[in-house]
Amino acid sequence: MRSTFTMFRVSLKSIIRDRQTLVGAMMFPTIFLLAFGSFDIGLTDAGLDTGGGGIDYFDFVLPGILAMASVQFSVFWTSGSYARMGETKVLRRLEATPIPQSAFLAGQVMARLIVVAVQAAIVIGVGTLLGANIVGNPLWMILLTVLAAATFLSLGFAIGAKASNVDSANMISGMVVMPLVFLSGAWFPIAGLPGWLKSVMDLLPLAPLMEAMRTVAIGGGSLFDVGGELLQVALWVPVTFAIAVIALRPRRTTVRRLTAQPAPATV
Amino acid sequence: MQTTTATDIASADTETADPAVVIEDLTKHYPHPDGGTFAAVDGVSLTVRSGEVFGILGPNGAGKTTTLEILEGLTRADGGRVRVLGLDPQTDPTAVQQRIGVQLQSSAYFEFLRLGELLELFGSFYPQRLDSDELLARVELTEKRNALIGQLSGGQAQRFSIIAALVNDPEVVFLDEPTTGLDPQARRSVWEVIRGLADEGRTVILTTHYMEEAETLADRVAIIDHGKIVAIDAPMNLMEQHGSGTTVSFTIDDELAAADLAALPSVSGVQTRLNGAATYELSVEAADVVVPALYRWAATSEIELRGVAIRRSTLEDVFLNLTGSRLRD
Repeated sequence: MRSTFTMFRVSLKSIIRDRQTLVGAMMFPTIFLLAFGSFDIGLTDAGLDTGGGGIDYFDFVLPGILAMASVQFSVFWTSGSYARMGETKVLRRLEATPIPQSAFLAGQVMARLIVVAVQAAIVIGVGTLLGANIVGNPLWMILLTVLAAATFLSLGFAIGAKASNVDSANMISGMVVMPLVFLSGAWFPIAGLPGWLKSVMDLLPLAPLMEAMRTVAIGGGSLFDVGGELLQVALWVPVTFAIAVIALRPRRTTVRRLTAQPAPATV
Repeated sequence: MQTTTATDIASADTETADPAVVIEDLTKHYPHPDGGTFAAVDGVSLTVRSGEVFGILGPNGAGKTTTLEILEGLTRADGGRVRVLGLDPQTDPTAVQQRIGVQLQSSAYFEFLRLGELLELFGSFYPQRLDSDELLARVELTEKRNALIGQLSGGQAQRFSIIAALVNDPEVVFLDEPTTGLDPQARRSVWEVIRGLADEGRTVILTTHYMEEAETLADRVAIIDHGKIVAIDAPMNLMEQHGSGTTVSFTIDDELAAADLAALPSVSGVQTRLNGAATYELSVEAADVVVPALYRWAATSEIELRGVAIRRSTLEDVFLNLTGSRLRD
């Protein structure tokens, strides 16, 4: 417990001191907000229960930007940052200590959840300033985002652990994140997806998250109205955490030290 | 939450005579870049006594780091048996890692954390831990408490990585090439720190490819080459048994003195190097017999002796004699 808490505290400090990355993480969704906030697109058949009538596309896409930003931070930056810890041998040094993978992961994930929460608050704040209309309680949206981010952070660490370097971590993250975000309903309604694909997306955590967030943001629902989605998003947290713990296990039979090849014996 | 002081170790350790480390017939293969495998560690057996400073000496690629990493629970062995403090790091790495301190050859720390925070973080991994201010003080890094690792000099970073290995008040400390790449002054200050560890009764196992380092620090030295142990003994014994004896060297103007010099008492061989003047190197049995005789000979022959030097055998000679090759850096 003590190691988890200390890991949480110092990870948060590390993230805050890495100003450039932090500012980037906060700015990234703002660019999308500015872009979409200046369009004036009406959406009449969004497949949403809005009590009839059309909704503004900006109102529709805001939860999508929110989700995309947190997934971007949770998977992309996290997997890259973990792969970098491997490249720079920070992890090797940790492997020589008795800290359990679960304690390391829990501390790191918790610290990053704080960043996700702040990021979500900024997206909602800037979005509102730019004219988005959020009907429900924005706090529920932040809560939902953070809950889902716990899953995506575990995914990010797992990718970082299995990638052999930062470049491949980014590559794998892109392959996972892009389709997931596009097909989850972040940018457009997914009611029209082929049946099987829709079923798959409904099983994964991002589509239920989008569903729940729009019920709150557009439909003005409370947490009780999104209980099913909430549960579905929450169930993924322990599953992905367990997967990440296994992925983070040190590879004790490493082949990393090929440079240690001795010169042929000359007797 | 208890904080033990370093002195507790010394009294606790002397009562147990069990060896700190036992290695029997250890082997480890790595894939060869051209296909197949090669033995990085090839049948190594050795025992490190509790409280001993044990040096593992050999060139790059000799198998030193691999051996250490197997003991630290970082790498799996292919064959053989290892015990650290009676425990098997292969099957129970966590139990071993609770009681050992590890400095890796090239380890990094979180780049955005200050030294004090890093020690606190590493301390939180163990049930018992030493005070981070005390640790910083003992390697004169107190005023660097709030510095980042990237703001340290090479010597300071190396000293920090040693105290980072001490946070859990370990019984055995593994140091993998603790002074490689340091300037002579920084090297000496690291040596002081290592001697301090030994004075506290900790067992220290260090690898090095510096002969001087092994001679200065180690109670016993294992010389390892191509994954095999070539010799294990106290540095003094190794130099007596496998060294090249003592040599006396000097420069004079007389290029034809070899016969005269060979006749001096206790001289067993003469080597001449002509370079304008003549530099002679005498292999001798007892320097205290040869040197007075040499000066008497010089006085009677009215020859001026320049640059007289007595050199005893070094581990470098031992390595050369045992392996037939120079220690590559």
